Amino acid sequence: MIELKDISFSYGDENTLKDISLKAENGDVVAILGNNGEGKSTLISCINGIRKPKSGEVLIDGKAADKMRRRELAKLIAYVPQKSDDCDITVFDSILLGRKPYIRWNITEDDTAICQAVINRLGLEKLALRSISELSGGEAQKAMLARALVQEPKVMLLDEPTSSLDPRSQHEVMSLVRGIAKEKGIAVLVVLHDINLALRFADKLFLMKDGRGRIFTVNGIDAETIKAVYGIDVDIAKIGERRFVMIKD
Amino acid sequence: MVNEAYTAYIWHKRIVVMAMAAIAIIAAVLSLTVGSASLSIPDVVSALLGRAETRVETIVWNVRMPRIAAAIAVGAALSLSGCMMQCTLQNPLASSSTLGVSQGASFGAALAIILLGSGTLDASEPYIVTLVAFICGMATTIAILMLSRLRSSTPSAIVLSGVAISSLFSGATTLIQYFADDEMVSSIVYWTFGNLGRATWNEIAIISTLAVFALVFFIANRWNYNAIGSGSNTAKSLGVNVELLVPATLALSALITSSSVAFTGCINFIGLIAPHAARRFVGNDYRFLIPASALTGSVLLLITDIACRTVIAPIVLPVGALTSFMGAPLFLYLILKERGRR
Repeated sequence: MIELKDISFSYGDENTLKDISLKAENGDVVAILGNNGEGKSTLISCINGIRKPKSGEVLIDGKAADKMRRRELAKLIAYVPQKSDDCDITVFDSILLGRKPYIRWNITEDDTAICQAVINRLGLEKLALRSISELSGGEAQKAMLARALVQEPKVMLLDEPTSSLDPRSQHEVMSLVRGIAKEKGIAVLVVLHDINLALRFADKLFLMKDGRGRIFTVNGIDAETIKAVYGIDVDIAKIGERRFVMIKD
Repeated sequence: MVNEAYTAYIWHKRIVVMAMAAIAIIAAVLSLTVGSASLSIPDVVSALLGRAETRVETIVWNVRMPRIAAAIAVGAALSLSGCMMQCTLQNPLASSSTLGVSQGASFGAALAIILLGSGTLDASEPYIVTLVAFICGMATTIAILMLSRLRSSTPSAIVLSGVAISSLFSGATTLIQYFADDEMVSSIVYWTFGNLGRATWNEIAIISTLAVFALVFFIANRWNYNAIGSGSNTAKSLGVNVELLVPATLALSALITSSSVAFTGCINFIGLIAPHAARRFVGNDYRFLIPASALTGSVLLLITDIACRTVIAPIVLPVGALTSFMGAPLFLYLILKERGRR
C-alpha cells in the first residue's frame, strides 16, 4: 500500500504540487490524469525519490520513503519511464537490471530465474537476446514493464506508458499492467492521457489541476469534473457496464 | 530455454575478452622484438628468463620492457577514462582529449615544471607534477560536469565546450612558455608530443597502481554503470546513487588521465577510439566493456608504438602524433554519426 500525505513541490517560486494526498491499496490501479504541465510526472518523480518534495511524506506500507536508503526504496518502488532506453543492450540484460537493488557483487541463479519467469509471463522469450533498440514501441514498453516486475516491488509507477503506442499495444500494455497488479498485489500509479483507457483499466482516477488533485472512482466521475480539469465539454456514454468519455463538437 | 541461450551469449563475450587479453600479450611480445637492434622471439624469451647474453638482457629489460609496460598501463588508463566519461556523461564523443582534460592536465604539468624551475622530470618531482596535473585535470572535469548539467547541453555542445577549454589551456601553456627559459620551453614542447620512452619504472608503477585501482572501482560498479546507460532517472529508481557515482567516476577518470599525461605527455584520441572499438566486439554491457576497453587501449597503444619505432627506423616517432592521426578521422566519423541520429 502506498500513501501520499500533503506532498508539495516547487520549481523555484512556482508551486507545482500543492498538498497532494493519495492512497492506493495493494492491487489497486490508480490512473493519474490531467492536462500537460499539471505536475503528473513531477508527482511520480517525488514518489520514487528522483525529486525531493518540499513538504509532505510518502509512506509504503506505513514506512516513510524518505527515511529509506535508495537501494531499499528501489526494492519497494519500481518505475517505468515514458520512453524506452536509448541503449544498445539485450532485452535480457535490460530486464536483469531490475535486479540491481538486490545485486551485491554479481547476479545469482535466483536473479536469472526471476527474469526468466517474468520473460515467460510477458511472452518476451523470442525477444530476449535481441537488442532493446531494435524493439517496436509496444515490445520496448513490455520489456521495461518486465524490468520493473523483476524488482519485485510493492508499488509500480508508470509515466505515460502508452503515449507513443498504437491502440492495440496500448490495450495490451494496460491489460498486462492491470493483470499483474491484481495477480501480484502491486499498487500501481499510472500517468495516462487517454481518459477512456483510464476508465477501462483503472480502479480509481486521480485528477490533477493547478497542482492539486482529487481521487474519483471510475463510476464517480462526471462531465462537469472533466470540464473543470481539462476545460472541455464532454458527454459520458454507458455501453453495457463500461463508461466512455466523448468530446462534444 | 532463454536462460541457456543467455548463458551461451555471456560465455561468448567472456571468450572475446580473453581473446583480447591474448592479443595484448602477443602484441607485447612482438613489441619486444621490434627496434633498432633486431631480436628474435627466442632471444626475447631467453632474455625474459634471464638466460640471454647481457647486451640482449639490457635491451629487453631496460629499454623495451619499460616502454611496453608504459604502453600497456597508459593505453589502459586512457581508454578506461574515455569509456567511463562516455558512460557517465552519456556522450559518445567524450574522452579526456576531446573534453580538454588532457590539455588541462598538460597545462598543470607544464606549470609545475616551470614553477619548480626544472626542465626535466627527475625522480623527486613527478609526484608534485602529477598532483598539479591532476588538479588542473580535475578543474576541467568539474567545468565539463557543470556544463553537462545544463538542460540544453547536447553531446556536440559539450564537446565544443571541450574545444574551447582546450584552447584556453593551450593558450595558457603558450603564455607560461613565453616566460620560461630555453631549456624549459624545449622540455615542455618535447613533452607535449607524448612519448612512451620517457616513463621510468617508478612512474610506470604509479600509473599502473592508479589504473588498477580505477579498474577495480569501475568493475565493482559495473552494474551501476549499466543502469546509468539506461538513463539517469532509471538508474536512480534502480537504487543507484547517481549524484555520488558520476562525480566519483569522473574524478577517478581525471586522476588516471592526469597521471598518464604527467609522465608520458599528451597521447590523444586513444581514450576516444579504444572504447568505441571495444564496443564493436562486446557491446555496451559494462561487465565486459570495462575490461575490454582497458585491453583494447593497451593493444592499440602497443601497436601504435610498434609503428612509431618501425615506420622510419631508426628514428622513433612520438606516439602522440600517430594516435592523433588515427583519432582525427574517427572523431569526425562519430560527429557525423551523432548528427545523423539527431
